[in-house]
Amino acid sequence: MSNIALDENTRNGGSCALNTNPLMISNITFNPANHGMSVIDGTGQVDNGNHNGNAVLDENGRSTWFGLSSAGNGQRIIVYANSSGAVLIEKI
Amino acid sequence: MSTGANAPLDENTRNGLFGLSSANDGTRVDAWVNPVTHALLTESSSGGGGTGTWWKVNGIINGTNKVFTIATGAASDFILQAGGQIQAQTVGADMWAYSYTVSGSVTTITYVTAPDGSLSTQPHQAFVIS
Repeated sequence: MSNIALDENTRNGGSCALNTNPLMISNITFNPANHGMSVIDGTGQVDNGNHNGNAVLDENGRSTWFGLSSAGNGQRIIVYANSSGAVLIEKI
Repeated sequence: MSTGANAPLDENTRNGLFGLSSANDGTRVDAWVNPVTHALLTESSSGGGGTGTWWKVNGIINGTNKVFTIATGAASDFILQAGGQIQAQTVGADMWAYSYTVSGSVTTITYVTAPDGSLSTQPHQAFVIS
């Protein structure tokens, strides 16, 4: 398991569960020239697990992203990113 | 400061994603995620969205020239690419920041800093959204 990137003040950067193995961590990447966050269309993604709706933690107890289900039922859903650090997104 | 909805918490009291309302009223808004695909819902499609066309950027790259053109009248900001890297999209402080003017079917691009001469053999192109 990789650990979440930290700054000099040990504040963690953005990270998600790895889409192919959600118990692993994928640090989110950004374009160094325009600071745009790496994203990729996630509409074809297979559900590989939800970690019981709890944020996946790294070896230092740092947490990855999760949000609430778009079904509107209050369920917590972890956010996936691929191995390149691109967050899976879906247009509303 | 507004005291809208609080961040969702998991069983370990780790907080979920939220942001501030785009209505600019200080209200906190939770991020929504597709429960099947685990994709974060966004208002635009992947990569900034939209269809468009790659145009060759004309002009010599020699380390000093800052002015280039593309053979179309861009109706909005666009993405520039040189040497395999996506560059800045709008005027700013970054090395690759640029401004542009449109005259008919020609867009003239002026970089703040001249592209490095080492990029002279690399593709230099602009993605203009339709």
